[in-house]
Amino acid sequence: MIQVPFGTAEWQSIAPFSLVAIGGMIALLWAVFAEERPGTTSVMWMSQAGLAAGLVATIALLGSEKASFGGTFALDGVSLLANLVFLLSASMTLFMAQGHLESMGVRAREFYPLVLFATAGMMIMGAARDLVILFLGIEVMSLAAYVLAGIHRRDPGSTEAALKYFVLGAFATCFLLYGIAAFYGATGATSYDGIRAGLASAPRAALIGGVALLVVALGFKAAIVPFQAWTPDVYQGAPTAVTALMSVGVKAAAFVGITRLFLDGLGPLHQDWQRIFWVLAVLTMTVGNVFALVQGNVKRMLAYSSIAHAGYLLAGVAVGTSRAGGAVLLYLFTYAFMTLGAFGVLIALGTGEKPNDDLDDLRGLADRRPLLAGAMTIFLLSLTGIPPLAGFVGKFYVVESAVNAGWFWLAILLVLNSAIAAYYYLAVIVAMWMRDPIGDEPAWESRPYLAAALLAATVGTVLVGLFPSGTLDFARHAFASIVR
Amino acid sequence: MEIGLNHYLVVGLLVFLAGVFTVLTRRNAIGVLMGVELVLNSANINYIAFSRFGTGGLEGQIFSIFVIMLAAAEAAIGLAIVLGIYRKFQTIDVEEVDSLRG
Amino acid sequence: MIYAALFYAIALFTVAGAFGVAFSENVVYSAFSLMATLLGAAGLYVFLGADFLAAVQLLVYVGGILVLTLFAIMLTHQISDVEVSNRAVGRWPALGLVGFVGIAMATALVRAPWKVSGEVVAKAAGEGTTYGIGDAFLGPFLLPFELASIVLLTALVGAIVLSRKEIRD
Repeated sequence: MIQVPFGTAEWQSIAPFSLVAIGGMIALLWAVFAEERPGTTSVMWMSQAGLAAGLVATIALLGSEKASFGGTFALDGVSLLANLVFLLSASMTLFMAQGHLESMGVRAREFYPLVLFATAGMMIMGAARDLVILFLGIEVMSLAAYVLAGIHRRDPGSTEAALKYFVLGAFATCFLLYGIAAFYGATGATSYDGIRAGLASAPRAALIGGVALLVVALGFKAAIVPFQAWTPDVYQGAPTAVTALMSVGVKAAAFVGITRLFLDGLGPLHQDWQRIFWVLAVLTMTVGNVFALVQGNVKRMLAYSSIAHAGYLLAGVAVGTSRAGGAVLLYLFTYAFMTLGAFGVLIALGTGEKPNDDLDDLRGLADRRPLLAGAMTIFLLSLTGIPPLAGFVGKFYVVESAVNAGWFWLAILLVLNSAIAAYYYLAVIVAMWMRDPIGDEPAWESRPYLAAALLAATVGTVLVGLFPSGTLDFARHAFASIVR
Repeated sequence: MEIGLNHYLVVGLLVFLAGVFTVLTRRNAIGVLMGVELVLNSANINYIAFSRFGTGGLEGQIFSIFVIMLAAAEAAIGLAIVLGIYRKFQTIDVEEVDSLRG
Repeated sequence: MIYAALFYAIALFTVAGAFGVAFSENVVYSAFSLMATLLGAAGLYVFLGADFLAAVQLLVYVGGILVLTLFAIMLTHQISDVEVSNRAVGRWPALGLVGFVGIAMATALVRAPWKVSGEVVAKAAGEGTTYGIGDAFLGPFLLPFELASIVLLTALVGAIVLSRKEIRD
């Protein structure tokens, strides 16, 4: 009497993340059995092949819209576009890590498969339409991320980052599970369809409590104030390539999960969560920006800046229309390019002995390495939101959707915050171009893979800024069927 | 009074509160982990109670199997990290471990 | 009557264990209190008709996780010099916060008109829940079941990466 619900829609919907996970397993076996000498790149390329397989599946499926596993796992525009962001950031992370890990003395080849597992987790989160599946996706991603943060075992900072990330992440998971229990008790279901159907007759106190618990749990993953306390320490302590993955992939996955959960599953409760998100969005962007102002370490500054960006993204979620959903997805796309690029430049500056990521280390970079300084300038201008770069269109459409829905104050606060942010981004640009360098030139290594990733990030930052409409239309269209 | 849903929910809540208190007050990393285990158990009690009294199906029991699975996975990773910390810092006091400051 | 008395005894055992974890000064005592809670929870599962879960709880939690935790305590702590450590958050603020949350949640829990249906897990006499759970894992819960295996694989690889002997040049 076992009935396995497995047809074409099921195979198609699980194909992207399964290919990535299987690619990770193959790369893992390869790493175990292949003789690896320092400097060889076969595991990296095996892992890239896994990501490429996921990418091919995602692109082949673009445009299809299917519900599978009884509507608990989605195959739609949102999940596919989100997959592109995850795969892109994972692939760039792998390229940027090549050589970077070697120079730090990290020999663990499992780094690459673990990045693939984390990516598979993100892709599961992007497609989950059931709280249990969302939970499992979060855990695949988080467990891999805890380990990646601590992969530089000789560095106390990296181990410490892993501990902090793990303790707070495990605590957040507790809230997630309690929140799921509240919804299961109140509505008798965990799938978004079931929850929507049960909302009307559910006890209100349990729903409010459930919403609060889920906001806390997902807020930890997305680094939203007041659940951001771990972010600066973990981002600074983890190896920079891992920081790039955490600040782009993990955050994007958390936001896609939040957007789908609240706009779709909990859509009927929007009057309750919109107010919470409004307050949290303003808090998050302000706290992130104010703390970023006083940082002397660029990596830590970028950690606070990523908190501020989470605030802008959350503002889009708070607006809650399908236009806003599309804007959030476009923002994630633009944010991925410029943030990966900025962290990539920091990786390029590091040598085996010293990370060289203080503001003083970047002084006079334009004289020493003009191309690198030029790329960093583009990323920072984009993060500031200067047209016509990617960061501008991301912010512009979030503001536009807020104004469109009548949220003028939110739009005004967002613009004011961007002005504060300009100050600390420009400070780095000024240091690079107008100050004299301090000390001797570090013994930089040439890293072709990193250079290629930086080139791709630069091209992406410029191109998405110039031609955002295709992605935007696709994202808006994708959300039209979700926001009911 | 017959033993009903509320009895189990109250037991779950008390275990949850004890777990949160443990996480908030412990400085020993393993102690924090035990607080997390308490909260996971309280979530499980809720799932199974809702499953028994609410829907009458098995879903709740199945969710709690996933939670137990996660607890095992988290314990493995967490204790590996804790041992790494102990090797590096010779302490697992979460407040003494703070080389990262802005 | 005996049923109720037995329930209260097990519930008390569970909660007492939980508070033991929270308040004992020594982390080893905490671990043994945790065992009381885990055993008590297994007892509650039996009351709730979840026989398979009770067995899993004993095997995985008590037999696996708790033993692992005790090992870690032994490896990181000299049992003889037990010290009263300072708190991450002061005890009183934490107690206040937890008390506030507890009262709010208890009110919500008890007042909420939870859906309670009369029907109980359908099962033939003498047949446990094992069959139904296995059936569900290969039916409606197939996807979560497979995802759980990815979670475990990731944890396995991660734990090995973090704790094996470091590879050097």
